[in-house]
Amino acid sequence: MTRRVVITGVGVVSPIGNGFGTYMEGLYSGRSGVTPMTDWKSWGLQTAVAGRVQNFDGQAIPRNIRRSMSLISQYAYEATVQALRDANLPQDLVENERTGISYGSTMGGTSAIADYLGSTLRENKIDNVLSTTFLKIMSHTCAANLAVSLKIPGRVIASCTACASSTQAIGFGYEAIKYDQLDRAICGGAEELHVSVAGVFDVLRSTTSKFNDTPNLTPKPFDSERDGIVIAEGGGTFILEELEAAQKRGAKIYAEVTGYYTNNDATHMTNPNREGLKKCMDGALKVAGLNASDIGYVNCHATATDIGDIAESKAVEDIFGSNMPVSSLKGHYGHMMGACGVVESAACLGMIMNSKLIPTLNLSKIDEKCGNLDFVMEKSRDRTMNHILKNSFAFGGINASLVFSKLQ
Amino acid sequence: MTDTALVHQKVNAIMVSLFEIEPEAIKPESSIFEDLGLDSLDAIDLVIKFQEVFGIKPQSEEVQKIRTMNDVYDLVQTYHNKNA
Repeated sequence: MTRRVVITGVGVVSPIGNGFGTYMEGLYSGRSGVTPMTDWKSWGLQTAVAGRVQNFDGQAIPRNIRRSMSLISQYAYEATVQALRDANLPQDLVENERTGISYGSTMGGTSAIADYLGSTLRENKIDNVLSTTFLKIMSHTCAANLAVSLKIPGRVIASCTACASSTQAIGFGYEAIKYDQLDRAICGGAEELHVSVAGVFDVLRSTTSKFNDTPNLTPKPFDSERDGIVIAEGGGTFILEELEAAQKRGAKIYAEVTGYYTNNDATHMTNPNREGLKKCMDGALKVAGLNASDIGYVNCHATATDIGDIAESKAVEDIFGSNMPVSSLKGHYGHMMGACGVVESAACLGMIMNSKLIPTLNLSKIDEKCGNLDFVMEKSRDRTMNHILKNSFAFGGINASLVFSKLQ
Repeated sequence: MTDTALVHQKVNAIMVSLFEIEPEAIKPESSIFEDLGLDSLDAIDLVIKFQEVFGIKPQSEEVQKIRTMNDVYDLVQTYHNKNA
């Protein structure tokens, strides 16, 4: 006997706005969150643009809990406070053994890592390292900071799988509730911008560089002129609850999580594998008990790299056929990595509720090498849907797919 | 400014910058835990800052005895006098 899982709260911190409503308005209005990063040129990077969070006041977080938070955990905290408020979850259900955390990021706080390594390696001593430094840089910094600051005593799952982190976090939270290990799960992910992270993708020649003077024209997922990733930051949180309990307390229900699957290509550390992606999407459909034809839209991972967009679009075509509407939201603000799965999933909830698809920003000329699909571009499109599939893929061959369904 | 007054001023500045405590809340008799809201992690960071600002490295058992701002001033002053 398994249990049904629904989403009852959403929080978003993003380069196009903070809060779910502002974020959705930004997506539908075609707002770009990509801005110049001119100081990156002095580091030798080719890319000089990024998706930066605006209007965020981390100082508003009380000092006694902020002291162990790098910016990444501050984004996670803000998104989670928004989501808890949105869910209107009573405090006795927050501070409850049956409430857990499932939260991810690519790594710990990168600014704190840079500070720590900078001072220790430069001076060959640890004399000036504060006691809270490690708490900012450990891999599970977001999950641990949320659990302690919000007094959540259930299990903590830290999914640190780079760009699949928060999609897996939702998936693991869903499974924990489905199989009666938890009644509620606070799920999501966060990422903070740092030159060292952008540098990783720059080294791999995966970053955009032709649009440094026109940031709002990049990235260009699926476009023949695309030239790579825009690194971005942000955070997102979902409150997941067991269906009957959520209904009993009169919670607002965004949608049901009906499917989740994760697997590994097991072929290459950075190159995606079409067969692996197909197996992942197929697995999510099987868990949801749905056919490919039941899905009304696929929200792609599509980061605007050459091989990634091709592999994913062809895999989507293999599973769903050429009539499937698809788009990527990375055109609006870039790639939030550990946060992208949950923040883009938030948009999926908005699209189901509004019956309106968001187009891929900056897509005007579809790359012929991509799969043959119904690419939603240039303007939003009315579409009533019962089910949406969302993809996230990460270095290390990690794939994760979620299915969100209108509550029936 | 006397040597003692200078030590107090520098210690208070650390309390304000590191722990975001309002300057007027810092009094010699204030408990750093009950009145000023610090805990054991903060106490460690306070001593780490002493090293940076005053060039002193108090022993753990000395740090564990700290209760009030007066204790903090005395600890710094003691090391300061030793080094003078």
